[in-house]
Amino acid sequence: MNTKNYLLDEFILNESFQRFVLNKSAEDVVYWESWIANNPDSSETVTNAHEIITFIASRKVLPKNQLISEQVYERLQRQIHAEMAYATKQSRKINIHYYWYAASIIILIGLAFFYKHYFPSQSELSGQYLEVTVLKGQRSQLLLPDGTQVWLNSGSIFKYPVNFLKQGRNVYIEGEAFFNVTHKKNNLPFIVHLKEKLSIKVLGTEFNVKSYAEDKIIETTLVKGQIKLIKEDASNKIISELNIKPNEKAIYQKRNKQIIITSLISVKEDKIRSTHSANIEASKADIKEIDDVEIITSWKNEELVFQDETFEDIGVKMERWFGLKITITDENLKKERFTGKFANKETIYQILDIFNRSEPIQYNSKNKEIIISKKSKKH
Amino acid sequence: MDLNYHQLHSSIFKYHFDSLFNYGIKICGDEELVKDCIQELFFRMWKNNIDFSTVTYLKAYLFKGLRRQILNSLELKYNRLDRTEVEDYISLEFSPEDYFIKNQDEEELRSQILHALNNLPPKQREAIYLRYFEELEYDEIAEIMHINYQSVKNNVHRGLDTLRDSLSIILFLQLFWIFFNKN
Repeated sequence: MNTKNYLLDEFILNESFQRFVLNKSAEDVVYWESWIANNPDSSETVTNAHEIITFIASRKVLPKNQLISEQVYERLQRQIHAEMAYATKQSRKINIHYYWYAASIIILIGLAFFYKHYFPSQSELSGQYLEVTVLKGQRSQLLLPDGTQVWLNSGSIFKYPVNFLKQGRNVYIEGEAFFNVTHKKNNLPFIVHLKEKLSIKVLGTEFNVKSYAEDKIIETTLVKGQIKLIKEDASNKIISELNIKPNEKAIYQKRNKQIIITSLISVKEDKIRSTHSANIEASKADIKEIDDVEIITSWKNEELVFQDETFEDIGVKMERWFGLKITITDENLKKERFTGKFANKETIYQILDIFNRSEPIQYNSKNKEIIISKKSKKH
Repeated sequence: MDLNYHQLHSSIFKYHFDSLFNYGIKICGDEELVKDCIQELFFRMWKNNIDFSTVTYLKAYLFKGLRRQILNSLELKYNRLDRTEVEDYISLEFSPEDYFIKNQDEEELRSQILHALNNLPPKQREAIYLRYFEELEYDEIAEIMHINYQSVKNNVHRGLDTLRDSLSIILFLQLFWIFFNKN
């Protein structure tokens, strides 16, 4: 591996690096991803070079000459037509008939093509929302214009209108967020819009929302105050409105569109332990909740907590938390349950080593992917 | 007439017209001449029933054809028979439209970039245009410009070296722009 220290403009002028940034060659992408992983010192320069190339690429334009194109096209067709008329006098009528038929279709195709090219869609032009994207492996916090605090977990997208205070406090979340909503004197509701026509209506309260696109469920947990979980149908008509009390968690299952509300039981656990329970098979079908509010909202204090979760679910959590790809190769290992708390910014390797103490596992890592398997027994 | 062939011929014309026209204008600066040349190029392909499926690099094939067509027309126009002399009439110029700017503040940046580009020798300019604006490969550019592979590489690299020397400050200005003017 080449560990040479590149300067900013050397990255920018490097064609292999350009292909990596513009995602044009799988080979270059693989090469540079591993190069970057092996050269953390250069990460700032790489980020800058990446931005500049993207910027320049987005600035490169080919002027469009629609009118001239149509004009030359017409002239060309006339020339071809004249040539045809001259060459095939006998079957001329039929040819012309087909020619115009073909030409009209081609013109229609052409018009559609040009239309798409020259008129970008409206959504590209509207800048009415402010959007915050939190990459996997990162967490973020923001303060809204009304004083509401929002914590955003890894891999989340949060959107809110520019004129936030004027027309209702509407926000949109995909991913996981914790809200501390300020109570407004004029009773302006605060509405969190989720996927699947779900929304949460609040006046002033603290609650957590988890709604990742790739998850099978959407869930919200109330810490204090009161919230309403609202479900609408396709025509935006409210079909159910559920009041959720503190220490309750509402789970929406995307599969059957059912909402379940569970009361949370407080469980305190500090050390990691594996549950060698025989009924893993039996219990995996239903959702058992024995986690408490503190555990659910622990992420906002930079704590990674697992509460009697399957190793498969833990894998998904760690993928987001660390911004890595995690593959578990052993089916039995996926179903094992674990509990543990990591509050000292442990690395993924430290965490996996701790797992290894209760369950013999081994892992390989390359290019931001970690493959975990059961340790083969050698006795 | 073969309807499928006609349709293919038309869609190739529509898809490549902008690239061809922009390139033609850049190398000779005569809009009417470029229009005639593109028309003639496509008419000949239709008349000779060129089998497009056998053309490996269609875009390079079209660029090469247009370049040759323009050289032929210039030959007639200036009544010159020596091809190397006619080649001198071909000189690619970058124009402000090549570089999209979002607001007036960037005008200065754009003019500096254009100035740097247009100060390169003609062969380097053309090779860089084909490489980075039209994204053609070195061997395709060699075909189009009728020079060998190594000269294309040399022309592109020398051009980039010169640009790096004259542009490094501008790149930093761009960086500044990205960080502070994003929204």
